[in-house]
Amino acid sequence: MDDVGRVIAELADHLDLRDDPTLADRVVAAIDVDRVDAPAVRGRRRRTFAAALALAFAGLGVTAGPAIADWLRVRIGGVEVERAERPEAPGDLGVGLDLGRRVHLGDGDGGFTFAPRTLSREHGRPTFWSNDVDGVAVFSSVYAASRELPATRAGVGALVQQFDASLEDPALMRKVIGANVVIEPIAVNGRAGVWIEGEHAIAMRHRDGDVRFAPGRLAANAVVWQDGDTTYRLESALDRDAAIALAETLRY
Amino acid sequence: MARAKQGDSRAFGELVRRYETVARRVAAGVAGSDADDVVQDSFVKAYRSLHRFRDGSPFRPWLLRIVANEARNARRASGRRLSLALRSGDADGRDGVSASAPSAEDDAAAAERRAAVATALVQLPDRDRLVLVYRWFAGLTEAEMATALGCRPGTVKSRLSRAHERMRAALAEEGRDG
Repeated sequence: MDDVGRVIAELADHLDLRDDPTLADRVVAAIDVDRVDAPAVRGRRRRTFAAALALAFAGLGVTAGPAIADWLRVRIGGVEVERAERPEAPGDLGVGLDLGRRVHLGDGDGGFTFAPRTLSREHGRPTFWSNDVDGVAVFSSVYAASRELPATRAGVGALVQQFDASLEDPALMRKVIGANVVIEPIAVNGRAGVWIEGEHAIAMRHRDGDVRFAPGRLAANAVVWQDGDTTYRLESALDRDAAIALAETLRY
Repeated sequence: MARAKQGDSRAFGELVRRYETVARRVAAGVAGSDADDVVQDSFVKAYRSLHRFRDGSPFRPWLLRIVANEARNARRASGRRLSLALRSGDADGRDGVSASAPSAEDDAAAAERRAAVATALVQLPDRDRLVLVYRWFAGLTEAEMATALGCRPGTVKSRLSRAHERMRAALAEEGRDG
């Protein structure tokens, strides 16, 4: 072994790292809670839970709804992730926003070249949508309105979109979005972006080099930024600082 | 693996247990020792991406590439300086002291040497450090490194050689400073 290799390997043996016996359970719980299982397995588990719940509640005369099923599911997974009931995202959440077709994570992720990012689970379960806008793949997550996410004019708490394209120069965006729209340069986790107040389109640079425009929305103010080759847009009724703070919590 | 790809999260849990140690090492080498969230998020992301994993190809370098990317993103997001924490009180990884055990001076010297190696390592450019982390923290073969780095095996050799040279120079610099 090379001398340099030997000292680095020895260093690795003395790093203050310890395996966490709960890690595997936490990962499994996170997977289960996010319902990213393959559809076949998801269906089988749902049937198992439905049967178990029917048995458990039959004598009590209780109707076991999906929220209770989720709570039990996490507990049975070995790790208590959260105690609060988390209702299913309403099936019509995002309908009418022209976001394309409804998709489920784990169904192939819509063939995106990027990994979908979502808000933390405390914001509830979103609906996911896939679309193609002028050749640009778009992945959208719609969150229900809540105390933390006041309803936008579209009646949702937040809309997070990922575009498979680079964000165009804000100067060009200024030209296309009109003079009565506020647009300010900002940073999201150190990534350059803009804060937009008012109805707007987004100018993006597609991989083929051409500029494309995401359709304008009856905003909802938006945080728009680029990370890697992906452009993100977060629409919400939050003020600028709160919206940026929320954008910075997006995770894979 | 087949069960995990079918969506069996419990089967994936077994993979988590099997690869946790090496994932922690890579996460630490890229993002620093406090990378518990990175490791968990990496495994969840790996599960979500299993449909892209080709049957028959090695899982370890595929997973570690995800870990390294996740760690790099986390470090950029935090803006913190990279640091590697070393275990204290077991300079040679032993519990207790025997008659043939090194002296306290030997232990202190060994700990000091390792601290110098850690300091030199974190000062390397990310690109060089990742190569060394894959090779010496994770024990990947050059073929596995090619998969993890997304390059040809010949490129791995040259990148490893260059990283070794830079590490030697950084160690020499540390020696002079120390």
